Amino acid sequence: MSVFLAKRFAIFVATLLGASVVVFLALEILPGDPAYAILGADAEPSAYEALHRELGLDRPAVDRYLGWLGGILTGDFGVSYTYSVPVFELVVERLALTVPLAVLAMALTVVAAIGLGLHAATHHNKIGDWGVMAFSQLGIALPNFWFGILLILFFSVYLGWFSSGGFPGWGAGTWPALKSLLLPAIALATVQTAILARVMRSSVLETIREDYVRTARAKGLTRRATLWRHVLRNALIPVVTVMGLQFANLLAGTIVIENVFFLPGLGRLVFQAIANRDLVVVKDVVLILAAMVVVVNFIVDLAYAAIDPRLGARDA
Amino acid sequence: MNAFRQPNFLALALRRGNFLLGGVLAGLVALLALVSLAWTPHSAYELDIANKLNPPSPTHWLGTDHFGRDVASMIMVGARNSLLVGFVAVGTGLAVGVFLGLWASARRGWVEELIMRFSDFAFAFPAILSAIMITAILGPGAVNSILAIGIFNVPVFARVTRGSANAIWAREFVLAARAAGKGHARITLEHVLPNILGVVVVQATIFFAIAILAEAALSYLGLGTQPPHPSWGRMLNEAQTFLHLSPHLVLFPGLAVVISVLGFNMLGDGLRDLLDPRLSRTRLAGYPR
Amino acid sequence: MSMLEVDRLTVAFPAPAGPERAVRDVSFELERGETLGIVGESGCGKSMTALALMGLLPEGTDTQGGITLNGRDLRTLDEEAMCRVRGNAIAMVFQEPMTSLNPVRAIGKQVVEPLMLHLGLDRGQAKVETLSLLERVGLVDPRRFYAAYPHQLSGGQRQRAMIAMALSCRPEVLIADEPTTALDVTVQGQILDLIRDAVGESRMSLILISHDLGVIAETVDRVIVMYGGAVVEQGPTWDVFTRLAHPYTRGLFAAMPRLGEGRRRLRTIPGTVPELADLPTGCTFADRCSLARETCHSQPPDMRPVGESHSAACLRLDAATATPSFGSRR
Repeated sequence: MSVFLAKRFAIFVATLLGASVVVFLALEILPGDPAYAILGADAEPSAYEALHRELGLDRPAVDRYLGWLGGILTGDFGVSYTYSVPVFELVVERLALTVPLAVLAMALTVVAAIGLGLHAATHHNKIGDWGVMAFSQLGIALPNFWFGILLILFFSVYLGWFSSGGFPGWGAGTWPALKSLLLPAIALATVQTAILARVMRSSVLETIREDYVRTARAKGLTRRATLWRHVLRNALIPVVTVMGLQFANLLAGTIVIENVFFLPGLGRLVFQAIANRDLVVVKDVVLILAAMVVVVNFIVDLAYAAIDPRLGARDA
Repeated sequence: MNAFRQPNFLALALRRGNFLLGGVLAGLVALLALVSLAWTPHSAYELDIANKLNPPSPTHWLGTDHFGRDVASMIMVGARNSLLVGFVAVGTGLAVGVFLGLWASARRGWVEELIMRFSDFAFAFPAILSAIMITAILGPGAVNSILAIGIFNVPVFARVTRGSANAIWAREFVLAARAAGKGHARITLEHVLPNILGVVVVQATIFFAIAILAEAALSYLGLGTQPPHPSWGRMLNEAQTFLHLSPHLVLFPGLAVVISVLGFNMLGDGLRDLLDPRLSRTRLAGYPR
Repeated sequence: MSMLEVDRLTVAFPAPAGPERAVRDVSFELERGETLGIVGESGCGKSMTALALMGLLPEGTDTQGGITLNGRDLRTLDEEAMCRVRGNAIAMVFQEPMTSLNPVRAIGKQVVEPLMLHLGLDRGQAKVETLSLLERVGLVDPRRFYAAYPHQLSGGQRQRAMIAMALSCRPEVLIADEPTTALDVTVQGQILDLIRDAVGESRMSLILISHDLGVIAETVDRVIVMYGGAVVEQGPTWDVFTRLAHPYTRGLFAAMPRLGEGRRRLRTIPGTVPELADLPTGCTFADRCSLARETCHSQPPDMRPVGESHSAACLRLDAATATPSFGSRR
């Protein structure tokens, strides 16, 4: 493994640990006594005592942190206070919705943004370019949850093509399940596309001015072939960076969008857990969401190494 | 053949247009908020169940909601709320973030490393996530949502500040100041801060827009501004219930968000281009929402 | 008829103050196997002339005049046909080997491209051909260089790879635009030797663009001196460099450092290159010329014969050749 990747891996692990400390401090130490936070100040003493012991609050904080972390590593996430089921089961069930939703939204974003950005850059200062820029300016200002509601209004209420929310589960078949994720994914992707298309456009415009693009043209490659073989890969380097940054926003977006479309995903779970003051679930889910962001950023680093040989493992 | 590249006058004119249009839109929102302090067409709080879910009319320009409250008045008061959250959240991020960034840049070494690593993993907690943590502990509310958005802004401002400050520290006039025996703090105040002010102001404008969006999302989820205080996000949440009966209710608060975010974004874009065209290259790197 | 004929080539860029004419009425001919040098200061239009030959000027450029290769007017070709000429009949080596190669593609993959495109070789054949090309340009152990990325190569090695790419389809004309300027002095000679050998081995013609009179003198048969977008003198290299008919050519020579002249100050040409958007009506060099008379400022000079196939654009040719030295000491 190259030095670059080893370094990124070390940062990846350190960031994960740091995030777990932050979550633990915020949700176990800051509230004072989580048992009170869960039950409220007017709790009955016997119930309080029971919960206190159940949460293991009589042990020192470092013990509790290590126990929690060790549990997560072995798949033991603790037991939900409200649902009385292992958090692990809850989470796995909800991930089956949130992950496909995020992946679908990201895929739509990448395809649309790269296409729009390329189109704008190759039609620089023409109508197509202005159109993409106007869309981008507007899209960045669009609250994704409002756009989601508008999609429901148009496609469900007026046209009746989609249901206005809910999720039939993967057991109902792939297509019905995917169909119920489509509008939410579009709502998420539109806003992200607006940002990424802009990055793609300026990146292509900058790459087109490079000397090696002139070299490619001097070899006799057509504009189109030059674009695909020499511009695209170089132009993608900054785009991948922004994609990594965007993933955090995309996940944050799923929390909101799941509530717009009444989808039983991780976002809705954590939201309901807050309403029920189920701190065990909140703590685990927040850590999982943060970990997903960190993992994606690590994948972005790997993607860098694949795109740019100057960072890659092929270096001696 | 860069010498032959033409300055694009159309683009230049458009930049100025960006600035003007952005100023007009943001100004309009600010004006609505200011006027709402003294006057609104109707009360934004008074219930009038007899006139609930009215469509737009001469008496109620934008109609009434499910409690018969005047939507136009609620949007005006909501503007006040959004701007307040924006100001406080960006102010917090600005004060703490710029201080940390300047400190990191002046001291370098482990201070810089520590601050930058901290901001690294702070990126793993977008505003909504930190808001969820904060409301899980402290309960939902306007103050808590401001806190969440502000905390999220700190690492962003720290990063931007450090980046631009490092460039200033490498310049000759700073070297001259050091040779003259000035200390780190004095150089930071006299030379570094004035030179990076433009970048910081531009970032602040753009993050103002992002804060408005984040507040709307938190209020929509019920984690932000609590009833009976009107906020755009909350109005949208309530309007969704009556989507079939009164679709116009989801239109106006959403448009209010779009107009103010568009306004502040364009103001920031235009400002950046007017202050320093070279900045345009770096802007999108720090564009998380 | 010559192989390549350039007839009153004019290149203008749109600009707010009116079109900037970067190349004005440049005409020359090139025979098969002949080597031609274009010399002048930066901004004199020599690179623009080269890019015009390649049909690679930026969009929105107004190009006038004729460029004829083997009787075919390249200016009338559409983009598709022009793509078949580039890298095939006319190939080009650029100034900056550091930035002229794609950083994310292996060297081999970049050399293979014109072979597959123009000669219709399949990937395997093209690879065999590329390996022998890399060896020919002095990249011994060609398999290693085939798989290497540009950042793993030195400047000289990259320029060798660029030359391999340009030579791959055995072009009729090779254009080398300042091929050694960005390189270390020790490498410059090797690269020039490589270009000279390659041209000598085949019946290829060479257009060598340089601001370095020494490089021009040892490489090419004929030379064109350009100033302010126009040709001011042209002829056989030996004649031009011994006669120095145009005052500007003399200025260039006087400004060149030479061995064995001690530590004296170099002569410089006073003034700066004129603004392309605001060219004087008369001779473009008049403002900087110590021999200029009033007529020089009002009347544009045309090319006048100085010797056999040697001409210069100057109204004061008699005075210029009579004056023993030119220029001022700073």
